[in-house]
Amino acid sequence: MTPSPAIHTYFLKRLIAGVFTLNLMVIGMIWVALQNSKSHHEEQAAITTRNISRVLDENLSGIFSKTDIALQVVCDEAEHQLKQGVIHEDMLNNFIIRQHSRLPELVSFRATNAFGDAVYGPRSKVTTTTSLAHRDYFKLLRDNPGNRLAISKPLIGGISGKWMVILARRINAPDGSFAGLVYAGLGLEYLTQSFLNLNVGANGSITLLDTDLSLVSRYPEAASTGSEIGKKHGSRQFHELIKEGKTTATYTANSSVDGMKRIFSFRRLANHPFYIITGLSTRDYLSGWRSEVFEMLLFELFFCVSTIIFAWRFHQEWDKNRIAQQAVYALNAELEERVTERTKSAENSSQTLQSILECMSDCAWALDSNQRFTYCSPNVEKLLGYTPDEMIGKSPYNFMDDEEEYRVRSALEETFLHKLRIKNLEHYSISKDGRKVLLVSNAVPFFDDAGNLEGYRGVDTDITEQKRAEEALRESNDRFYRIFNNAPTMMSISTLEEGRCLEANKRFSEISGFSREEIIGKTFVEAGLLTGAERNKIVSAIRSNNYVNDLDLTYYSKSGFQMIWKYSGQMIQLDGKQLLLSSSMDITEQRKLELQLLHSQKLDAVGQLAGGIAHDFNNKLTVILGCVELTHMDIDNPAKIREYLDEITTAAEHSQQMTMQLLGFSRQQAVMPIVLDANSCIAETRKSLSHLIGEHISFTFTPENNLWYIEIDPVQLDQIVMNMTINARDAMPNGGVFSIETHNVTFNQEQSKQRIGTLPGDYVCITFRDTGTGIDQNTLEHIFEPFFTTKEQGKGTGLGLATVHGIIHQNRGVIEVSSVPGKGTTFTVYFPRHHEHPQDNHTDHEAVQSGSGSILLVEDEKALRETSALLLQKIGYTVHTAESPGKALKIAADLTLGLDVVFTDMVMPEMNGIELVERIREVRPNIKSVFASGYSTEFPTGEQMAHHTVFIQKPYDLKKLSGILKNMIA
Amino acid sequence: MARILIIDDDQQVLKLFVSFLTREGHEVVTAEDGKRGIKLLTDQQFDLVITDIIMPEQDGLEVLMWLRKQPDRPKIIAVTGGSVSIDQELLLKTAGFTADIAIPKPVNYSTLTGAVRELLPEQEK
Repeated sequence: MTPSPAIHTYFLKRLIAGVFTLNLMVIGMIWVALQNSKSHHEEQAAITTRNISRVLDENLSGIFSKTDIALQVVCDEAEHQLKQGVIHEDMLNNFIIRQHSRLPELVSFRATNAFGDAVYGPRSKVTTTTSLAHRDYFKLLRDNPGNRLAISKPLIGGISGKWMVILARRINAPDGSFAGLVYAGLGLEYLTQSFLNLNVGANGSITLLDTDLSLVSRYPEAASTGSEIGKKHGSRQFHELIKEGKTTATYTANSSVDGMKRIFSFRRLANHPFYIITGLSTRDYLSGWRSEVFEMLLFELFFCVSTIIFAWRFHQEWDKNRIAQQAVYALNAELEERVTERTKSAENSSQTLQSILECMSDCAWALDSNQRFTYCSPNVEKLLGYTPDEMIGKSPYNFMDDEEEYRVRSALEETFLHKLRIKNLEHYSISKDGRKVLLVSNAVPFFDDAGNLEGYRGVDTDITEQKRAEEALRESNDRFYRIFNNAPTMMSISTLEEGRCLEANKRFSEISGFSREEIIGKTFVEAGLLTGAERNKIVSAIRSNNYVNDLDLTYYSKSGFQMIWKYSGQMIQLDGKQLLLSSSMDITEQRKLELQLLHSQKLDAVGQLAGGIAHDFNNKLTVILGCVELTHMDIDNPAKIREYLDEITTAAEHSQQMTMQLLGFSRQQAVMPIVLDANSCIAETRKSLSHLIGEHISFTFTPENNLWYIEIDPVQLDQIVMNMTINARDAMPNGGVFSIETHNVTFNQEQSKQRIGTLPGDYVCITFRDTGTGIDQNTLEHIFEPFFTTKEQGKGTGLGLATVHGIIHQNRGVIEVSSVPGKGTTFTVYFPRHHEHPQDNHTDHEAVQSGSGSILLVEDEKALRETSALLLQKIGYTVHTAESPGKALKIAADLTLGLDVVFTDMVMPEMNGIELVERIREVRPNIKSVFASGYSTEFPTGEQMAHHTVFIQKPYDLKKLSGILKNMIA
Repeated sequence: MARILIIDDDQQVLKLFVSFLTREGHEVVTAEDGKRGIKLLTDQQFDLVITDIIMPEQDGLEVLMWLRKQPDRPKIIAVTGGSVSIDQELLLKTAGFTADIAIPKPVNYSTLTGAVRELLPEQEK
């Protein structure tokens, strides 16, 4: 690894930091030592000042005490003399001089009389001119008779002219009155001189203050000492300490006199009103310490320089090492890289080989010259179940049974003898679990330098499964051909494009008439089996889907017989080629049978229809017949009879509707289309539908405003709406929404193309929508077929939607249906728009209209003929009846009879109604005619519809008939 | 005097049969379908049941099936609507059970009352 420049910088920083820290530590130590030393010096100075102060206290107190004792002695002498009567001036003078001589430090020593005149003392110097009466101490002692020492402020002696302090005592007369005082002047110069003996250094100071803190004396004397005496003195700190009541203390302050910083100790004299302050200048007592500081700084400088030099040298050494190390690292790295590369390469090779061996399903092995395994790849375990360790040292023959060993040894005899390669030797080995494993071996011999065989290296491949698969394939192919040949359907294999037959089975030959030999090699078209067009159907279907199922194709047998084959084909891979495998069934017979079946089914359907209708009809007939019976029984009860007749009418009307529906389905109903507004027609029907549909279904009708008119029989429209409603109801057993909507729509060319049976133009659209069960796609395809019903037996005839479809188709309309199972169904009906406006023809039906005229009634059924005649006569007509066309012709030939109308049945023996009328018109050309029929197909075509002709559907009602006749004859 | 239940989906037929049978002095109860008929048969006692075969909801065959399981059942007249042969065949197919009398529609007074009389001779006055 190579030290990077970053490491170099890091090292340098650390080195500098180390040097700096070391020096900082040394400086710290020096600083601490110096601080201790300074403290020590300061402490020593404080002690010195305190000692000096104490010494001075003792010294000054001694001086003051000695002086006071002298004053006391003189005072006693003077008072003694006064007690004797008078002071003997000489005696006292001498006494004073004697005392003064003992105290040379006193500048003056005298006594005054009561007036302050210093009259006693050394004579030569006595002067009377000087009075002390103005002095404070004089006044103090004169006015206070107590026995006390008075000390004055510093003053200049009136006699000596020197600065001094006066110490005085009162002399009392024998009566206690003031007789004068004794005083001594202590020269300040003496006090100052006494300070000189004490060592306070070059810049020290000693100061004496009185209790007013006024300067008494100071050493050294300042230039202005004289003027300073008596003034307030001392630093701020000193004043504060005094205020605190301290009598002794030490402090540091700047001198109030010369501003120099000193350490001071002050002390109040024990028995006298003075403070002594001793100060040592910091300049003096720290001079030694300053030398120490200088020395220490010098040492530190030396140390610092030494460490820097050392560090520099160390760095240089380190840098050299670093460069050398870098070189070593580079070499190491290169070496390592090479080693890694080689190791990786070796590992890769080994891994590659190992991977290959593991991935191979084969087992690699090596045999020595004695045919013992010296190596087996791990895959041997997969092949035989033995681990390589279990294999090594053993012979391949150890894993074979005797028979196989013998076979293999024989097979390899030649190979080993000539030291040849082993090529694709198949042999069985017995696996660990006893299976027979089929292996194929390939191996090459290897030799030593002298060319002697050392052994074989080779690979074993397990081909058990492969052999089994080949076997299975062979069997499968055999089976395929057996099935192919014996299949009950016609089968062939051919090319797709050409249709050239490559193989055909027995059945194919049987049906087509072509033997296998005849058809193989030919194309089916060449053989005349099918036409090119039919063949193309197969090819195009196969091309799009690769297979085709159930294609009905026309084939021709060898003898030319036409057949229908149901063809299925699929592309298969056979022998590496894409070929068409065809399978066909001859369904010619089946088709014939289907046609027959279809026909019989139709008949069956008619039978079912008849059964259904018969049930309903029989019900109604039961009612009619029963009521007739009851009428007979209650013939005398008109009210009852009317009731029975109403029942009969209802039953008959119901029967009429059934007939209409049946005929409507078969399109044989006599329809009478009129121009109408579908909205009002649906609205009318809707009233009765609400009851039909039930309360659990919400029923809405949304009509389009200004809906176009359509032309349709209103009964048919009712039928459509009715059927749709019933279907919707049945589709919503659990309730839902049923809605009818009407719209005007216009189809363009494109839209009309999408709806088979419509032309471009205007249409009225009626939509029926329910939210019911819906219809699946399969059912949707059949819903319009007759008899198709999903309802339970007896619940629907299967005619509803078929009827609807028939009606719509009859009226040139179309119907569409869309449905989502589970969501609902929508039927949409389109009728072409009719541009004429509707006529009001309802009035005809409103009531029976009476009229007059002559009618020839032709009806072969007696009951009907008689009933009709009776009814027509009742409403005012003259009626001639004929039971047959022959009879009718006879009546018509009688021109004396005034006949206005022939009212004839359509179907009669001899001739039908139309022929009859034609015959009658030969003699009565202007006679009008009314035809009655139960079947619409019996109605004449347009050509036959001559003027003055009307048709009426049986059964007819009197109201309708009376209206027709009234219009006709009017 | 008998108590008779008539089951038919056609209101007119019901009304007519009621007229026929009340005229004969019987007490008549009606039901419009098989389901309601079975309900009435469960709740009440009847001497005779006259039932149509083809009806909505449960039809006449179901009524017959139900009645067959009842230990003490009334007499039964099945009124068959359509072709006699088809309905009779259906009746026979219902597990070998048939009504006591099957009469085809249209039914007239004498047929119905005659059948009732045949089945309930002791009820005649």
